[in-house]
Parts: sequence; structure tokens; C-alpha cells
Amino acid sequence: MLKFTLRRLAYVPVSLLFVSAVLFTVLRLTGNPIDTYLDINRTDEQVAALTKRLHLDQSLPVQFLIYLKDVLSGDFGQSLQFGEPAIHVVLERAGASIQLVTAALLIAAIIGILAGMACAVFKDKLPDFLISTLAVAAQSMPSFWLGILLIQFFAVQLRWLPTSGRGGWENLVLPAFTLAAYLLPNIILITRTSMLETLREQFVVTAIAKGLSGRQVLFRHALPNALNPIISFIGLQIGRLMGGAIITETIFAWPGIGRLMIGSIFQRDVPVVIAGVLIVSVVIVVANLAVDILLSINDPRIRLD
Amino acid sequence: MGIAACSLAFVLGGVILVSAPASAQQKVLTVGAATFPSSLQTGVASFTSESLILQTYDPLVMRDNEGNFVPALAESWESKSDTVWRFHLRKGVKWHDGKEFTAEDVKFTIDRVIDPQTAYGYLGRIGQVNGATVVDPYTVDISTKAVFPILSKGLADIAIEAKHYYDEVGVEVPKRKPMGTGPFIAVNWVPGDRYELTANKNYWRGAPKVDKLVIRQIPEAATRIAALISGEVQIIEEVPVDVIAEIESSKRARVISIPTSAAMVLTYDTRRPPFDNPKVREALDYAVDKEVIRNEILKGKGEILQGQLLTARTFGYNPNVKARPFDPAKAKQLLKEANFDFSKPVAIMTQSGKYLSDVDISNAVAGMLRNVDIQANVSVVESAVYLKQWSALEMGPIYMVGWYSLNDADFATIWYTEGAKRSVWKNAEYEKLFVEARSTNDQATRDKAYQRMMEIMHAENPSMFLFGIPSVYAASNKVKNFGAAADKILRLEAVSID
Amino acid sequence: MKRSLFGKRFKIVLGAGIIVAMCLLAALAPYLAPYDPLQQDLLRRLKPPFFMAGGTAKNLLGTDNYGRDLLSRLIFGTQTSIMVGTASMALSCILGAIAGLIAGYKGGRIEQLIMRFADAHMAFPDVLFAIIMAAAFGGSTFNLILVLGISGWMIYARLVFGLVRSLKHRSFVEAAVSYGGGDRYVMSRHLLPQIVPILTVVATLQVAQMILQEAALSFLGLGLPPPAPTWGNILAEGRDRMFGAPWIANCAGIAIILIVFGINMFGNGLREYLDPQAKQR
Repeated sequence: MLKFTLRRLAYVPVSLLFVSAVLFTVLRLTGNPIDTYLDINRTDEQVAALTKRLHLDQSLPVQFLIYLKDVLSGDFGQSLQFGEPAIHVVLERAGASIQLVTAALLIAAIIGILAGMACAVFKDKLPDFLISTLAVAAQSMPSFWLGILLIQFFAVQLRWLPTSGRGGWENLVLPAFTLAAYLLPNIILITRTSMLETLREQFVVTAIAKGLSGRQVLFRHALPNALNPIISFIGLQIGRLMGGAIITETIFAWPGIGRLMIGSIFQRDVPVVIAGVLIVSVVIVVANLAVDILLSINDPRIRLD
Repeated sequence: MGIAACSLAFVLGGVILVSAPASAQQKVLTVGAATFPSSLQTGVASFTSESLILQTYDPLVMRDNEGNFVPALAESWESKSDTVWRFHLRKGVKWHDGKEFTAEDVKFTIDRVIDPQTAYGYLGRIGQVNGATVVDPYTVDISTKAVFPILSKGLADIAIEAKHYYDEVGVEVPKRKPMGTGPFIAVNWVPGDRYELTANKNYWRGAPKVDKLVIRQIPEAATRIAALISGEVQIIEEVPVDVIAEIESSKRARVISIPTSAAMVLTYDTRRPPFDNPKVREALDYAVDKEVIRNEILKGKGEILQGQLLTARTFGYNPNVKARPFDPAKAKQLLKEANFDFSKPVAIMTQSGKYLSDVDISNAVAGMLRNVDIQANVSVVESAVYLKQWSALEMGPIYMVGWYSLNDADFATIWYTEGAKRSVWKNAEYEKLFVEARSTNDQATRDKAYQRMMEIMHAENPSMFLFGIPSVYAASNKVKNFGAAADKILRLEAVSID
Repeated sequence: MKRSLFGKRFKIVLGAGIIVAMCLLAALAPYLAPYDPLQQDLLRRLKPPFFMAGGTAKNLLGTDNYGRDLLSRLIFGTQTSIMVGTASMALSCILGAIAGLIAGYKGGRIEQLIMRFADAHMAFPDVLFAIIMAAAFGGSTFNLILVLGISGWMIYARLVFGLVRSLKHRSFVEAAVSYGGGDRYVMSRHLLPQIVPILTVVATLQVAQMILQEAALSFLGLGLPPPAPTWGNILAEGRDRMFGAPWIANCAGIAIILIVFGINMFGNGLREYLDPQAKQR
């Protein structure tokens, strides 16, 4: 399992190279950093200086090769808009995003698993129907609309939570729930299905026959066995979650990497965009490694060889 | 199910706890800004950047909220010759670290600004400057390549920086921890999130009335308003016009607005049909009901441009030129005379959110053009694409742009000259007058030249002149003495909170 | 086994009901909509719907910020949303299915190339990809479908690849090969029919995803250019006015919820119906 992941890991640099080349070309072709960075009051000397600094007088492939050479020597270039090393700019914001995504994952996992178990226990009865319908409805909401509704209700009407910004845990609640709404319904459905499967397996039936209480059977025996598909699903969804965070971050003024990327794309700040993609990819790969390790801990049949 | 309900109750229960209120002793003013600059480096040519920069720095000459120019770090100035201006500096002004502000700092700043390697965005404001010489610690001479009548006005966007600070920490540190002479002292800068400052008790114009200032970036308008109404922030920028009524009826906050010097115009491609024909351009001017757009979309804020580029308070404004009335019949007739081809759709290019209600106004204009049988549609483009096409002068038949005049015609009229490379419309007399106005320090001559230029623009219609854009703020009722600024720069030293 | 009221049958019927109703609405939009969705009336802007104070029956769901009739815009929006959702799903389904079929059937180096590329794309947030493409190439229906379509292909590729690989060594495929069936023949006659049911489920659910994605891009100003009446556009235009004119965003939001809910219900019901393991029970 781990070997499989590690092999996939080997492809990451290759795909990153490809992605960077595409990004570099697209961003350069559709916008000129001179226009986005120097305002219309610029002087000819300034244009000349920046053109030279960014090698804009060279052909596009040459520009990319020069950039690549710098990257290979560990220099992701200077962010134009920040006037600082791009990698530094990105790393500074990565923490906020990872915090948000982790909180959303935890919320989605805890509530989703519990609700999914409830669905399995009451299969095809009213609670099952209500929970899964509600879940599908929550998933059907465009996240930015959901976010604004949550702000209006919990922050403006009830005054329980702050509207936006990053600060204490109370700032984290609304954005994390908004982002969790992305995953929650799927986790409920997967839990439901895999619980139903597990509950029919021999060892669970035996456990019930031995006279263990329903709760014991559910949490001690059925849950651990049903967990693997859920963990694999979460692993696959981290990329989407990082993407969904872009909108959540904008609504809740969360200073994360998603908003940074949007701004940098609009500004054609190529070094930041590419450094951002790199960091996001690394986060996703690390998260997937963690998922693999979790899977093998939970199920010793999967070996890390 | 029971377990799920329990855990849900636990999570929600945790949510109900409210954080402790901030210390009541300290008066903290929190502002919700729409956009943030990427860093605190000086000279980034945007008002959002300058608004934060001028919390910690002062220029030599400053604008007030209405756009008047008043002395700041320079107490007075006079011209020594056509190309040399002498500035007498304010004595006893201290940098935030306690050192004295002197002419050396002014020279250091000017040298830094005019060095092309600095890529100083606001260099164009004082583009003719070629150096500064220290006369004595409180007197400095700034020299220009040619006569440059707007030098003192241009200096309002140049923040004076401390030479000794750059010597000590280098050029990187000030981008995050600026140190100036301004009303507030930088404490903490979190990009994309917040900027925390404390009051400069020794500020030369008097200490600010609050102890702490926090400027937060809240990009989403709905969230910004929510933060104001829930009391998290006391002042917000960029209030969408359509929620003005709701903010006022909340009884917690009020809306404060002021016309800016920015003229919102729709510029034509005068090189190509149909807009190479002056009659067609004139017809379009008759076809758009500016009064209705101002009343309905801008809710009566802002001003209708009087058939010219300059807003009514700007130096160079021509009071005798008036906006054309709304007259669709006349528009149709002119279009007929011009043999206008109605079949081709005309695209109006605009950015979204760059100017107040920009997309709304473009759409409304398109709707009105449809009423005179011009098939107009709106194409909203992202800023980098807009800017790239703009430098190539390929903006399609019509595009929306806002020109800031900052109370002097020079800053706006330059964009219709050939040298500025932003206009496809050309007019020899206009060019001549512009040069004339720029090459004298005599204000009466300048005024006359600009007024004539306004007449030319009115007759020629290189653009459809729409509105002087308002800048709209909202402030909590607890806030006293806050004024909206025509140049969108937060001036907060006089603001107090109950 | 006892029939349950809330089982898959119910989900399929409910979902299909909503989908059919929406499709009818889209098809009959020009006849059903009371007004031209583009007709502005600046003197009648931001009028509330009939059930709110100040609303009239003239505009049942009120008007938007240009005085356009919201109901008419929503009805016409059904067309665009369904069209964009279905077309982009179809594009990614075709791209993905082809890639997956080839990879699974051919194996070897081609498999490595295609599947590693899919992995790489998977590890890249698709929203981000869509944003970069939309920002760079601007908004038009064609670009939007292209961007959304490309950003979803790898789900199908992986799915089809997995299925093909597991089916490849089953006897009927091997038999077809040994009888001299060509690649294309085996792929289209023997493999594809096995895959179609599951593909249908995933594709159905993805239409819902695409509609949400369109709304997300509109939020960032990267959707179809105005004045096109898409639900995403209406929602995005309404969000700045959530305090003053909440009906704009809320009506569009409810419309989106309704169709996405219907599609999801249908897809989930279909999955339960088609899943062979679930059938055994």
C-alpha cells in the first residue's frame, strides 16, 4: 500500500513540471505582469527595468527555462505583488488553510460517521430518510450562499459567533461547517453502505449472538471495520476540499492560500501561483500518505510494504 | 441516532459560548476594508495601498477628505526658478522611533522614488522630478526636468520614509513593518487578514482619539455589512449602493458618502466604424438617460459629469459646458443621418468591481442603447486581460474606465494625449493646450487651457461622460468625526468611539 | 423482503419527477416566462416578490437590480444550467471513458502514462484549474463547458480503468479476443456495456456537481458573462444585496438546491438499484 503511494509520489515532480509549464504559458500569454504590476503612470525606464528583471524580452520557452533553472536551485522567484520570495508568501498563508481544511474534515468525519451509523441502524425508516435527505439537500447548496446564510443567522441575528476573520476557535466554526457541508453527505452515505455490509458479516452476527449490547457491537466491532472506505474517500477528497476552501475563504475573510491564489492569478503573479500549486500538491500527497498509514493501522491486513 | 443527536448537541453547544469582550479600557477602532494591498511597501499605485501606507507615513503635502491640498511635513513651499521648488519642512516632527525628521529623509525618499530599479508605482505623479538637494536640515530643493506646475499636488502620494531606518534594516523590513511619522504606529501585519496599529501619541497634528486601530480585510460585501451590523467593525469601505437603505434602517450605523474626483466614462474606439463618426458618438450621448441611472442605480449618490472629463470641483472644470439631455428621438435621428449599421452588436468592455456599480452601469447603458436599436452587450473581463488589451489599445468598440483627476485637470487630461499611449482619439488643438497648461506655473493660464480642452472633448465625444463616482462608507453610530474621503484614503486621527 | 416507503424506489421517483419538471420548464421557457428575461426597467428595480410587503402580482418573484423579472430569469436560467451541466458532464464522461478504456485494455506504458496523469490531475484542486482557465480565456458558454468538462475527466478514467481491468480477464472477454476480435470491437461490444450502468450513476451525480461548479465560478465572476440568466449569475448578482434584496439570491439558491437535490436523489436511488451487492440483500 505504502509502496503504491510512494510510487505515485515519484510522479509528483513530473506532473508538477507539466502543470507549471502549462500555468506559466497560460498566465503569461493572457496577461502581462508589466500591465498588472506597474500602473498606467509608469515611466519607460520602469518598464525597461522590469522587462529585464523578468526576462520578458526573451521568448516564452526561454523565460520558462530560466524560471525552471531558478526553481531547481531552490529559488521560486520573487513575488511581484508582495516584493518577497514567493515560497515565503505561500507558506505564510498555508497554515490558515490547513487549519480550516482539517477542522472541516474533522467535523464532516465525526458528524458524518455518527449520522451514517444512525442511517444504517434505521435503514429505510424515517430517521434514515430524514438524515439522508437533509444531507443531500445540504450538499445541493452552493457553498457561498450557505456561508452568507450562516453569517446572517449565527453572527448577525443570534450574535453567537463572529462573522469573519481568523482569530480564536469561534472564528473557525462557521467557515469549517460551510466547508464540511461539501463532504458530509458523502461520508454519511458511505458510512451507511459500509456499515450495512459489515453488520451482515459473520463476526458481527457472532458478537450479537454472544449477547453483546447493541452499542458495543456498533462501536467496537462494526465501526472499525466500516471505517476504511470512509478514510479512503476522505483521502481522495482533500484536493477538492482545498479547492472548495477558495470560496469559503473569500466569504469568511479567511487569510488562506485559496484567496492568495485567486489574487495571484488575477495579478499574473506567476511565481506565487506556481509555488502555491506546489504547496497544495505537497499537502495533498502528505495527506494521502497519512490516509494510507491510517488504513494500515486500522486494518492490519493491509501491509505497508 | 441518539448518539448522533448527542454529538450534534455537543458541537452546537460549544458554538454557543461567546468570546470575552475586548478590554474596555482600550478604545479600539476596527475598520473593514474591501481590498488589501499585498504588502506595506510604499509606492504601490493603488488607493487601497496608499490608504494603509498613510496610516504610518506622511507626505510633504497632503490632501484632506474633500481633496484640498494642505501642508503636511512641508510647512510651505515656493518656486525658486521654473524648474526648482524650495520646500520648508516642519520642525520638531519625530519618527516613530523618536529620531528627528530632517531634509536628509526627504532627499533619500525622492532619490529612492526616481530610481527606476525601485519600480515605484507612484513615480508618474512626480515624473518630471530629477533630484533633490538638502539646503539645510529643514529646507530642501526639488528640481524638475521641465516646468512642472503640479509638483506639490503630485507629492501628496509620495510617503516620506526614514533614511536611518532603511540604513538600519534594509529594504525588506519596511514592507512589513513600516516606520514613519504618521498618526499610527505599525504593530502587526498579517497579509490578507489584518493590520494592527497603535496610536502615535506624539503625532504632530495631535494624538489620535483611539488607542488602537485594526484594519481588517473583508472582501465579500455581504460579510462586510454583517460585520458592521453585528458590531465587529465600526467602519466599512465600499458599501454596495443597494444596501444603503437597510444600513440606515438598522439604527446601528449610517452611510457616509462623498463624490470622488474619478470620472467614469465609456471610451470609444474612434479609429474604426461606427465610432469613427462623431455623429454616432454624439447620438449615443443622447440615448443614455444618465439621470435615471444616477437616481436608480447610484441611489442619487455621485454626480453627473457635465459633458466633460472633469468633476465639478476639479481645477480646470468648465462651468459653461453642460451634459446633453436624454433625447432618444434625437439619438435615432442622428444615427440615421450617420447611416449607422444597426445589425452589428456592440460590446461594452468592463471590469467587475473596479468602480462602484461598474457592471450595473454598463448593463444599464447597454439596455438603453437597445432602446435606440443598437445591439449592445456587456463583456466583463478580468483585470489582467483588461490591462493587457488596454496597453495594446485593443479594447473593442466601447470600454468603461474611471479617470482620477485628484483635483487637478492635468492628472486626468493627460490620458487623452498621444504621449500617454492610452487614447486612440487624437486632436491637435487638445495636444497643444495640454502642453501649454503643463509648461507654466501660472494658474490662470492653465485654467483657461483646460476649460478649452473640456469644450473640445464635449464637441468631439471621445468618450461618453457618465458620472463622478461616489465613495461610499458606512460607520457605526458609536463613531464620531469620521468623514468619507474623496480619494478613498482613511483619515482616522480625529475619529473617536463612544 | 419488506418494501419500504423510503427506499430506492422513492428516491428514483422523487428525483426523476424533479428532473422531468425542470427539463419541461427549460423546454417551455419562452411560453412559460411572463417577461423577456433581458428586458430592463430601471424604474422598477428591486421590487420584492408578491408574498413580501410591497410586492405585487406583476412580478411574482420580484425584480432584480435592473428591474428584470426574476421569475422569467429563473425559468430561462433552467435552460442554461441544465445545458451547461449536461454538456460538461458529457464532455468529461467521454474524455474519461476513452482514456480509461484505453488504459485498462492496453495496459503497459500507455496505462502508466494515462493513469499517472489522472493521478496528478486528481491531486490538483479542480476548482483552481477551472479558475485559471476561466480567468485566462474569459467566459463564454463554450469555454465554460470546456473548462468544467476537462476538470472532471479523471473520475471517469479511474472508474472505467478499474472496471476494465477487472473485466479483462473474465472469460467472455478472453473468448472474444481469442476469436480474433479486434481491440475496438472488444472494447465497444464487450467492455462498454458492462460499464455503462455504473457510469450512468456517476454521470448523473456529476451533472449536479457541474451545476454547483458553474455557480461557484459565477461567484468569482468567471461564469457566463452577464446579462445571461444563469442561476449562478443570478445568485452571484444577488449576494451583494443579501441585506437589501434577499429574494434574488434566495430564489436562485432554492432553484439550484431543487435541481441538484433531484439529481442527487435520482443518482443515489439509481446506484442502490444497480449495485449488484445491494441487490443481493
